[in-house]
Amino acid sequence: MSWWQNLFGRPPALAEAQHQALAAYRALPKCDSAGKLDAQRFIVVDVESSGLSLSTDRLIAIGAVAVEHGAVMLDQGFEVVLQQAAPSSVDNILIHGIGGTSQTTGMAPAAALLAFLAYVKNSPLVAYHAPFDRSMIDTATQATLGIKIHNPWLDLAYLAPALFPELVKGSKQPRALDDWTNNFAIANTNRHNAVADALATAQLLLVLLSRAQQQVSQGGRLRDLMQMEKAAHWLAR
Amino acid sequence: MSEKSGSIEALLQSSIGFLRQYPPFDEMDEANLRFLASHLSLAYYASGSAILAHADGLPNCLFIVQRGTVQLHPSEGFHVSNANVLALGPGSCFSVYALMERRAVSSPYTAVEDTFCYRLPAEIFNELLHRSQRFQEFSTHYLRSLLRDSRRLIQMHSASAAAEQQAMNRSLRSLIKVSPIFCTADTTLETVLRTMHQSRVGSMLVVDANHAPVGIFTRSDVLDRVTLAQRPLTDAISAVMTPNPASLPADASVYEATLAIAARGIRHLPIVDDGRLVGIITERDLFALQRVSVRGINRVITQAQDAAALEQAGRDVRKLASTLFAQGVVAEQLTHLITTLNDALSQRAVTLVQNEHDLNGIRWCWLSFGSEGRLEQTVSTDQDNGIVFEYEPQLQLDEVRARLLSFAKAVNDLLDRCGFPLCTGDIMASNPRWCLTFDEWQAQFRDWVSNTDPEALLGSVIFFDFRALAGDETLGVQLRDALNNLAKANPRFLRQLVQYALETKPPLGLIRDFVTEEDGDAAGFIDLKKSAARLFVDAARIMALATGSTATNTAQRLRMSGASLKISDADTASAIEAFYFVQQLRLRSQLSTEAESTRTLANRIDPETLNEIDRRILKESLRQARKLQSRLALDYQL
Repeated sequence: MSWWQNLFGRPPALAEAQHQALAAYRALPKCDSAGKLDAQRFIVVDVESSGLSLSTDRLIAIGAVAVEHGAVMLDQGFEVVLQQAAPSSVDNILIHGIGGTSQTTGMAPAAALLAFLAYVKNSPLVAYHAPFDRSMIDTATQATLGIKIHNPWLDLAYLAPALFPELVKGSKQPRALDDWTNNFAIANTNRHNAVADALATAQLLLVLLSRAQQQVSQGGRLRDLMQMEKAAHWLAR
Repeated sequence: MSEKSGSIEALLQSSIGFLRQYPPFDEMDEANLRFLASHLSLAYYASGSAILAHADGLPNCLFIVQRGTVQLHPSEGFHVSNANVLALGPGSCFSVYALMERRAVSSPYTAVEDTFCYRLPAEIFNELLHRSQRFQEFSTHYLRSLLRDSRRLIQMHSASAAAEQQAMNRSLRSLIKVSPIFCTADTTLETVLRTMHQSRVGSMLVVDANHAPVGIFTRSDVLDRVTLAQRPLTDAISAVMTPNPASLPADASVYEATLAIAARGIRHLPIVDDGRLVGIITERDLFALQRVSVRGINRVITQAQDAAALEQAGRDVRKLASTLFAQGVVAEQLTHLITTLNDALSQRAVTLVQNEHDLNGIRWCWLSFGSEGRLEQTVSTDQDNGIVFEYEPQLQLDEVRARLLSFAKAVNDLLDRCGFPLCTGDIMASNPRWCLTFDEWQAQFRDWVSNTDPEALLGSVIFFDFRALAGDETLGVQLRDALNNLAKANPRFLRQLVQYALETKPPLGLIRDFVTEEDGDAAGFIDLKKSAARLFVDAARIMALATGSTATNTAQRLRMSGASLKISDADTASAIEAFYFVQQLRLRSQLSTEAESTRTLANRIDPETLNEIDRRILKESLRQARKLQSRLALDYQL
């Protein structure tokens, strides 16, 4: 694949089965934002990348876990390491623990991303500092599948202070995920493993869902959360 | 590495890592633990939210608390006292019984702080029962752990800190903070007083050349033995010390020290190791957190000059029992302690009344029967007492008995005012039937032992638990010997006792958990004394008589006789544990019933008001009683 193919959005070379898988994902109805929160399936995502730069760094791994009916479904996790042309720098390996061999022997990016889409379906995606995860995944899907994913995203970095203003009062500093997990005594025994981080984030989501349902009348719907998050963005400016 | 979904390693390890810290998961094998972990979900419950209630019907999962606290309340609509609320922390499982018995939980579970619970689907729970023997054992023997929790619960609600929870079981060694202040017998009073003043201690121990305590001198002795006696300060301490002070070995428990202090009315207790003085324990060390002290009550009792003072002491005993119960003192020790104080109270009552009655020419001994005889008094125990006497030949029996009866009547009335209600069955010393000469008692026992009349047998059992309490105790001891010989000579008698004991069945139902009383104002209740505690007491008494043991205490009887009857230690321990659980429930119910008017109801309990865990333990305790009964039935082929 060459640079101009990406530039003009030409579909990359995919096997026939992969085309079908991609088509199946694109044919899914859009996520219904009127869905009740207590029945909503969420996919909590955490990505590992070669670095923190959105423009130059690459997606290395995706970890995810499903939240359904107000519980983390520990039997519905997802983990994939994407095959890399060259392993990321040694410093970075020390952070996420995915070794060079594993990186170069990971799954072909197209297959990995299609597996992710098959797992995600049309569920809303949730992350802490979601724009980073979203951008990493979008760049990768754009390059290998020719699409951006259509699922809505929820950013807990905005939703959490919106729902628990009493915990951030007077603080200008943006809070890290660890601050919130410490607040709610959520344990993360394996920080910087994508799935373990997603699990910690998912537990934070449970706390937030419970609070949201207390605050919003009539049970609470997905769009209430999305509006709350959007408002928090505006307030933060 | 490729893509994975479902139960992936990082999630499994997170759950397994947590579960491994708690039983029974710590002993489950890897494969079963992975199986369990691969079916979990993790749910969040905000503080105050309901997790599971009766109305939810058959639970669809097992809950394992991951973080936070879940409380189990008695069924809705019943008064909730703190003692009835059980708190479950990380690692605790719940809805085990409901799942095993395929029914709804009886009491609601509520998160009392922000709580995460792992949930295991019911069908996986069942599958795991088949796969893992350890898990099955855990679920079926859940009770033992519940019993532990129940005790912990009582302690948790105590006003004292966590460190105090095991206070009564701690060794005295652990309480010794500084080396004791001591001197030799020839030290002058001046040196002693100066040292006591400078070291700010309340007592001086006097030791011999081997460092063994030979005397004690306390600050309260200064006034009457030195100042008022106008003793020169050049005198040796040996002239004014209290010789041969009571002491305890360093390995003795705080509980034993409490008893010693209560029984002797002392304030300082020397602690020895191999006979050598190593420390001194004061009453203040033992009861730093306690407003009503054992010794204080004992002093009030032994110095009481009138009925009013004794009545106050009776109330104090009750208050102390409450405090100690809240501090987690277990039923065995607590009932023993209550009995010790009640003994002192009864002895004082006898002494006070005796001063106003002419008992010249009579040798008499005040006997206590039933629970006091067994050292098992709970708080509201009615009187069971009698008198055995002998008299000088020039006196007339009728005249002697009349004098004793009027004396006994006064004692019975005084005890009633002090919180020991009159015996409804009139088993009291003021009843001419139970105020008998030594020969009359012997004839009475012979009558019971040889007679086949079940009515007579029913009347006799509590007398077999008698203990001499006041007066001439040798009469009591002789009577015990006479009785033991009689029992030995009449083997048929034991068989009849067994027959009688087996007539009361544990109130366990086939359909419902418990069979409660059907009629009258007791309907819906279980009488913990009549239908639960007595089953153990009766069985233990028979075992003691069968093995020739002289113990009168139920736990002691079970321990001593169990071995000779080839009952396994574990079975004996279970029976004793079950007995004390029943006693503990009785105590809890009695101590939470403040109004005097309701005290007669204190042995009744409505099983619906128990939290689920206590219900299960009660049920299991009654099964233990049934086990003892089956054993007797087998031994005596009944």
